Amino acid sequence: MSTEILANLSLAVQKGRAKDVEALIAQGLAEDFTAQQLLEDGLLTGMNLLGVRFKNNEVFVPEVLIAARALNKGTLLLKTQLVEEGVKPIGTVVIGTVQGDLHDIGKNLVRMMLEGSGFQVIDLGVDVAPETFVEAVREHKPQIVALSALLTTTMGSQRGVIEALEGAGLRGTVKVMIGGAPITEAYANEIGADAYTADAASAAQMAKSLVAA
Amino acid sequence: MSNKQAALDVIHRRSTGAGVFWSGRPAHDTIPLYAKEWGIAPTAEAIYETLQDDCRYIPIGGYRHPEGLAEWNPGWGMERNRSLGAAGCFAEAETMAELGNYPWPDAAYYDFSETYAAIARQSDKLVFSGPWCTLLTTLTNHFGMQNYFMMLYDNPALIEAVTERFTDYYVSVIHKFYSGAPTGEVLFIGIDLGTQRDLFLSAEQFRRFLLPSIRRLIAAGKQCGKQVMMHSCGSIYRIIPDLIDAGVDILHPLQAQAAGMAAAELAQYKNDIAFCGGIDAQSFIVNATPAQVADEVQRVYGLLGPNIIISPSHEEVLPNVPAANMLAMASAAKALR
Repeated sequence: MSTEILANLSLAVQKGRAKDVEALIAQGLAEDFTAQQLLEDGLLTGMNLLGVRFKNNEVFVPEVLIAARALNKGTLLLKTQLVEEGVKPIGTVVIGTVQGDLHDIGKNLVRMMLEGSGFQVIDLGVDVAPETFVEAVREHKPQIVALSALLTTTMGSQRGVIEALEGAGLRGTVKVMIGGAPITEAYANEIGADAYTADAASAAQMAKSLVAA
Repeated sequence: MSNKQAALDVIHRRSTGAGVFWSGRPAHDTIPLYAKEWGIAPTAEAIYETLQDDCRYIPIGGYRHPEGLAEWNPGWGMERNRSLGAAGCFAEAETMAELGNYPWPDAAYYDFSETYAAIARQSDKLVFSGPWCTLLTTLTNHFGMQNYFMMLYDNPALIEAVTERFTDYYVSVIHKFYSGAPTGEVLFIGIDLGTQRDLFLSAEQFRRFLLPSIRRLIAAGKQCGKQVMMHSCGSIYRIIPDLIDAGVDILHPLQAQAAGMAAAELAQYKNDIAFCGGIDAQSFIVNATPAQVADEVQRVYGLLGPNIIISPSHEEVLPNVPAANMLAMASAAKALR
């Protein structure tokens, strides 16, 4: 059992080579690696390394997208084995772009980075009403709610979601993360969010620290 | 009073110091707020007059397809999700041949008579006009944003072919528009390339997939005797030298909070290009006092002037920008020497 496979799997994710991922997963399973090893030490390691490079502006949106596709290919191939091994996500995140805002590329990048860090992500899409977030929290019982807004005119809806969670008595059950081009740390503090991050990779790191706390 | 000559001097980078101002365009919901505050008619033009704008942006109109089709139809033959990144009708294509049924736009369907008439009414202003040529957005709409970016790797030949086809069309519209009159002084094109942190795609990918088309658009404008102003939101500092080399005369809107786009960082290019914008609209003019706005106008002008049109860093003025701050920006710009 050579750990070279894990390194190659990580590299294949970073390069966005879904076909290589497929072949390496098959090879790894044939060599008796566990699905958890292939997932955590191969696929997720690769996505995390790519996230660091994205944060450092060494790679760009296209590279993140093809890496996320390769990651998804791998996790799909491992799905059955992961269930059999009892491997669970490190947490659940409900994510969405807030009401009035149709922008989704930033939100999608955060979703991909979260999945690449081992989270289960419930993506509510764009233009999501506060009550929809509340319903999703009731249904999925996430540890984190992540709210995206690209416009100065829609960032106020992030406050609306927090108020809706408070009104529903659910605020204490979740951490709220916010992000988007006009968002700042000061604004996060003002509206009572638990965390703000400036980029998708930092969001995933923050989410890990929030569920570990 | 507007000062067209001073504005012309700025765009030709020969200004000796007169302040020039463009307020951008008030969003639909902004107009009644400003009108009420200032006691003027609820029209964009009344706002421009109140602010003594030196410039007008008059987008082209008059696309009249015989069957009533829009110029672009990214949801052709499909149900398209309304998110901005949703997959479009080119999402599944592998070759140009598969796109044969798409209703490609045709410049022949344009009737610019109303645009020409609107420009004629602004003869004492510096007028930006022409097709917006929003190339990257048009591409991402038709493929879907995520699909487009992945296809740079998966099927670059198709991306290049579609980009070429779209560019052919935009160039034909430019030539048709400028074959009539009056057309204003500036071809204003808008290709959003940046995020808050950096480019969407690498500078190398930009140079391969988009820059050749941008060069063609600029060349078409120059052939028609126009100065070319290029808009891109976001952080585009990596490619400003490419844009200067491609012939961009004026860079807009200088999104001040985006990485590498602060006035102090852009000042290195002040001898190579004129500017339009630079007064932060993401948060500054939303929250500042009028006195702070006036100070910021002077600071930005000191760094980037004299060849700058003072303007918000986003052309659409949203309703959360206080009317008093727009007045302060206009007054401070007019006072510049």
